[in-house]
Amino acid sequence: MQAILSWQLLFAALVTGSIYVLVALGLNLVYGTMRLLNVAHGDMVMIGAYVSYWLFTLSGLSPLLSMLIAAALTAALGALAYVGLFRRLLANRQLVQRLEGNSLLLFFGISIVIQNLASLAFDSTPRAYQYLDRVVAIGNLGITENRLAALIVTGILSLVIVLFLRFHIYGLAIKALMQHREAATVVGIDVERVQILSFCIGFGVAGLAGALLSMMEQITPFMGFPFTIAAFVVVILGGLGNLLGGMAAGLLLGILETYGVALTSPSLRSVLIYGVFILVLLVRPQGLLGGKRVVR
Amino acid sequence: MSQGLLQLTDIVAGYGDVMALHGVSLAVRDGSVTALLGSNGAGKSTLLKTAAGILTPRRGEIAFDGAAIAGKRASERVERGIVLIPEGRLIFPEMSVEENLRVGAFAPHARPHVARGLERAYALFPRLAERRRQSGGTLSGGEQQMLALGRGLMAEPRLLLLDEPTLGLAPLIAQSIFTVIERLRADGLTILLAEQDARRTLAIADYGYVLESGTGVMEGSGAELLADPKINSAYLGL
Ligand SMILES: Nc1ncnc2c1ncn2[C@@H]1O[C@H](COP(=O)(O)OP(=O)(O)OP(=O)(O)O)[C@@H](O)[C@H]1O
Ligand SMILES: [Mg+2]
Repeated sequence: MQAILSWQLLFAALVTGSIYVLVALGLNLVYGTMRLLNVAHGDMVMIGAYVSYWLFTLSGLSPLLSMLIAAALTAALGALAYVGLFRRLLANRQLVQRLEGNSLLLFFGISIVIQNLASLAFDSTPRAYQYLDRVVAIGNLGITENRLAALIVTGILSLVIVLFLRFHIYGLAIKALMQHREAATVVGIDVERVQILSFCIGFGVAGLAGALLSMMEQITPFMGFPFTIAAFVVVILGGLGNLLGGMAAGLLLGILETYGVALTSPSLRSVLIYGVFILVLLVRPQGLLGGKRVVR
Repeated sequence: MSQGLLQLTDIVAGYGDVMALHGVSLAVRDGSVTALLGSNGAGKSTLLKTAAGILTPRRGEIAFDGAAIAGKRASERVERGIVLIPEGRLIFPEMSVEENLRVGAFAPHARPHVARGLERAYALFPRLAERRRQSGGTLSGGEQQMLALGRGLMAEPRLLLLDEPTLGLAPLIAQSIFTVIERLRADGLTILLAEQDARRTLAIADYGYVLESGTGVMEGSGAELLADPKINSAYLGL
């Protein structure tokens, strides 16, 4: 019981949750603005993780710097995916009829290709490196520096995103497009540009989260899938298309998972996540938080 | 037909394979209020959406300020100053009143003037100022219409396309919307106004067009149309 009430556990829950916040944001953005279901989203986390892994191993570059490279690379991949594939999908009258299903299949294919390319290039042995792995004591809380750094970065980035959505004209335009597509067109929003931006932000933030993750955990070409699942759970929990709800839900899932595992066993981690998913779908399919309907 | 700020020529447009406009031509003179009359389903909204770039016409030409714009996207038309205040308001329901207004200034030429635009919108509609933090979806119909107008003005338009701005509003509120329209005209805005309330619309309009089943059937100055016996029987119930 003592362990459950420790700061240690709360800290671990926040670190996990804050990663989920960032990963789920992109899924929500791309779904909310275009109704595309990105099941390859977790693979951007994997790519970001490998970028930082290799840059650290080969040149000693700090992941706290290479995370920017990881973000830029995955953002560019997002722009490429949009311009090369999804712009056409969205413009095609017949394909748009079953957009969700079609996008899911397309992204599923992309995910398989990315994972296999990664395991071909890097083989599938788990990899890790040591960076900022000293334990610092804050009161009676002992935490590794890299986790603290990750929490600070995710915290700052989350705050920046919240402010962006509230005050920046493109942040407002993203929300507008999510809430009412025709109205967004009517007020003169450059829909095309906002859609590319959603891809770039969503993918880039996931890549950055992967870079942070690589400091703390082993990475493999297949590490992305659990994050895709977690992101879906978070997005459902927070209400589809509700960006702020999703951010709160990310933290909530981190807490549920960390405390759930502590109370039961680490082998039940995925059971817990799927359990939350199914429970929410059964009891409150519109999401725990918000629960407002989104106008198409 | 006189050359206008907006000139639509022989527009054929519709939804899927069903055409709602069958070759409509119309001109809106700079600085005028031009009325677009017609009963339910006549094609007024279709015409305004085509002018705004929400719908792509099957055929026909659209010129604004002398330049052909039929191929331009909606966002590019807003940049040129064509702004639609759509039927049904189309407010962003979960954004605050102020956010709704701010996003109305998305067009690059309008962005530097957000502060001035907000001030003007709140001066025109003090009710919006009181509700600036409230989300758009919680407003009454009249307030949503004010918000839609205010949001459109944030784009610094030259031509306003107003689609039934008083539809479903209480008479007093509808009257105040008409007052605002006259005020906007006095400020130099050009207005194309689709309405079912022909009498009140023609009373402030310089010129008017009547649509019937997607075809232009009559046009003339406000006074002429008001005096026309056919108009009287069809739209004024006299
Ligand atoms: N989204 C749509 N899809 C298919 N048909 C449509 C659509 N919107 C309008 N129509 C049809 O196009 C025709 C013209 O409609 P439109 O909305 O332009 O008329 P209106 O003059 O604006 O009528 P109202 O006064 O009722 O607003 C009508 O026959 C209508 O049924
Ligand atoms: Mg209409």
